[in-house]
Amino acid sequence: MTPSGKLLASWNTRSIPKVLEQLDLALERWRAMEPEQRMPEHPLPREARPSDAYPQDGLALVVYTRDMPREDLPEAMRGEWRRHAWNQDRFWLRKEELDGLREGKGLPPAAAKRLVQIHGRDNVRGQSPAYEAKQVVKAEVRSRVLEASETRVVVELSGEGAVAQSGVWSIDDRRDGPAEHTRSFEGTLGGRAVWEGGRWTEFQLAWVGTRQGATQFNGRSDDPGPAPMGVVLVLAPENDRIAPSFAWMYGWR
Amino acid sequence: MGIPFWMAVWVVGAWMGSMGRVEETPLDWQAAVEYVVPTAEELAWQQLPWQASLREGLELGQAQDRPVLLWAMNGHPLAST
Repeated sequence: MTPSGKLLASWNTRSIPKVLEQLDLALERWRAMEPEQRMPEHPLPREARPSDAYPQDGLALVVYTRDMPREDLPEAMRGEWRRHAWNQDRFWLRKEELDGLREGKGLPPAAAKRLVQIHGRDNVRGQSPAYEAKQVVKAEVRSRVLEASETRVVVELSGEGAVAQSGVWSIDDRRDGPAEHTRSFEGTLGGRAVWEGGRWTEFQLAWVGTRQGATQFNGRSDDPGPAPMGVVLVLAPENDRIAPSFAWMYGWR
Repeated sequence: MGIPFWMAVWVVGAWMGSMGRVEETPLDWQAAVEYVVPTAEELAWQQLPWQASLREGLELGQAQDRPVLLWAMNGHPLAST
């Protein structure tokens, strides 16, 4: 598309030859355009975005999810994309939510609950809605100070997280209708974080446990488990301001 | 893809339970981090200088007099599907 918003070409395919063909077509149309057609007549309006709530003095973490190794993987899934699928998201913490970590007090209950409620969803193979707050069964992230000085603190992280939901929904993109289902994830957390020079310089937190059930678009209708799943949080790159996918559930103002 | 020895040990120790349920063993969080975080090869596409929003892309295209490649999906291509 042009910076003025005119569509040059579009595609919905993973076929590389087709993508290249459409890219060439788009560039051909771009070159044929008058310069004034390419650019917007007026400055772009600025609109509020979830990324505006980026916790500048807090912590932005990337959340990765992946199936853990298992012995009972259905034969049809061995060697194909679902065997190696992974997904990512973001988890944000504000400074005041992090202060307790350095004092061995862990995360505040509300922050731990937010983590479990949103990232206990199974999105390894596709999208899945977050849980509701009332569906959080357990959410605790503890910290233990391993090393402490005025400029450097090292903490060990541990905890438990469990979510569960029962209700009526579809579990297949196209082939089934709404029916009674349950879904859940329950596991143990462990990790390590380092605060140095006034900021968190290292952060690794793993949450490994058992997932069960499926939702309409998460690709689990033929593999609902129970099966092992891992959720890992690590520091986001320095300039990464991509908002968490359920940013509105943070309730930040 | 072969399974390294440490991973094989880890699998046997932690995930031999019936129906894939995680056994009550201490969490080896370092091994979990290493296994779950995508490899450099899996993240190679993120090395492109993507802009995180359409607005940022349009402004950059305007500044550089270039067309914009918009990648849109149900979710965020740089974040969650």
